[in-house]
Amino acid sequence: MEQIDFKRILKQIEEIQALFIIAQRIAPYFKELIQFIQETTPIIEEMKNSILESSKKMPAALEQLDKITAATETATVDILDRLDQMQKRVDNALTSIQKIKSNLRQDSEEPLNRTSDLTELEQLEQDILEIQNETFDIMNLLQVQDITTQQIMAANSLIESVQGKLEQLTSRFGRLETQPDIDLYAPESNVGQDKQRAFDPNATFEDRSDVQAMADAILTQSVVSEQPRSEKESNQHSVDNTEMKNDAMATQEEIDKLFDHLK
Amino acid sequence: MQNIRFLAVDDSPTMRRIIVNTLKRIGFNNISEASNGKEALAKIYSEKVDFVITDWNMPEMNGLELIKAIKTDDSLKNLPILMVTTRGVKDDIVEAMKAGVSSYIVKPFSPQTLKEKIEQILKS
Repeated sequence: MEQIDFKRILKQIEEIQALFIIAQRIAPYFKELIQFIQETTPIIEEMKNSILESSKKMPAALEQLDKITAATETATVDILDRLDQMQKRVDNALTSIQKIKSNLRQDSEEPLNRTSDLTELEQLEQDILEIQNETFDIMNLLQVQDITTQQIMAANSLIESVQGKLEQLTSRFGRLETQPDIDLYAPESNVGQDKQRAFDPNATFEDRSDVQAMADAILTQSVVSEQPRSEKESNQHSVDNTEMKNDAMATQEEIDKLFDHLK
Repeated sequence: MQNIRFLAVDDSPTMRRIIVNTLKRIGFNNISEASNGKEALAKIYSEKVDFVITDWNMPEMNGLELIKAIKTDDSLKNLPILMVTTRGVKDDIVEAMKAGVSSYIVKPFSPQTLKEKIEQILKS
């Protein structure tokens, strides 16, 4: 029978006891560590969501800025075209004036050249009318100011919402006073509404004759549906409203379809 | 017809100016202005207004709320309203139509479109 080494057993017991003591001392730290992980997990989750949300909003903000660049470019080119036309008209008008002046000088010695003067005056009048039209067109092109303002506000709104979310996160991490939650999805608080002015995030300076046609068709349809039944039947204007998608800009095909019904 | 009193409602002074100038060019010189629905409603009650041209997105009271306010008042329900807005989604147009708008123009608009819509409304 093997002799029991009590000394060795005692030493092992002492080692186990030491381990228990260490575990007893470490336990509160473990508890704290678990608590810390439990507390930080939602914050990290929130941070992940915020970053995801922000990463989705930033391209939209960039897209808005691109739209502004495109709108101002289009309007500027159009205005420059009008100015070129005006310049030509002014040159023509000056030439006409010179010719009339020359005719008038000659008239003092020769018979009055009424036909020539009248033609020049008519040309001058035409040029001035055209200049008037061009200036009016330029004024009309300045609608770009209203549209780009709305686009800038939409981009600002997106950037502000990202900034708000980041500030909220920073305050959480910094153990600062918690700020009230910012509802980024509030329909009228950040999107579409501003302190000073309201805006349409989908405002665009592109040609919207197709959308105008759709609006006209809807309004026409409304007028037709308000008519008495017999009159409505005779007009054959019944249109199924469900044929077009309600939540997006109608395509040309949808508008054409609607118009076919209206014919 | 040229004595018709227009009320141009838009929070953008540029847009109001464009509308006013276009109306003058068409031949309508009797024009009043308001920068939001609330101001417009006050003018409608204090001045004689025959025709309203309104934007949709405005602070304080938007164009749609203005139309609803006008249409719920029996003394004003026949007042013609033309909406001039950037909003071109079908749902928006239908909503404006249901609220009682007489016609609808999508920005950017041409002076010709504005003229045609005004003439259409006045004829009807």
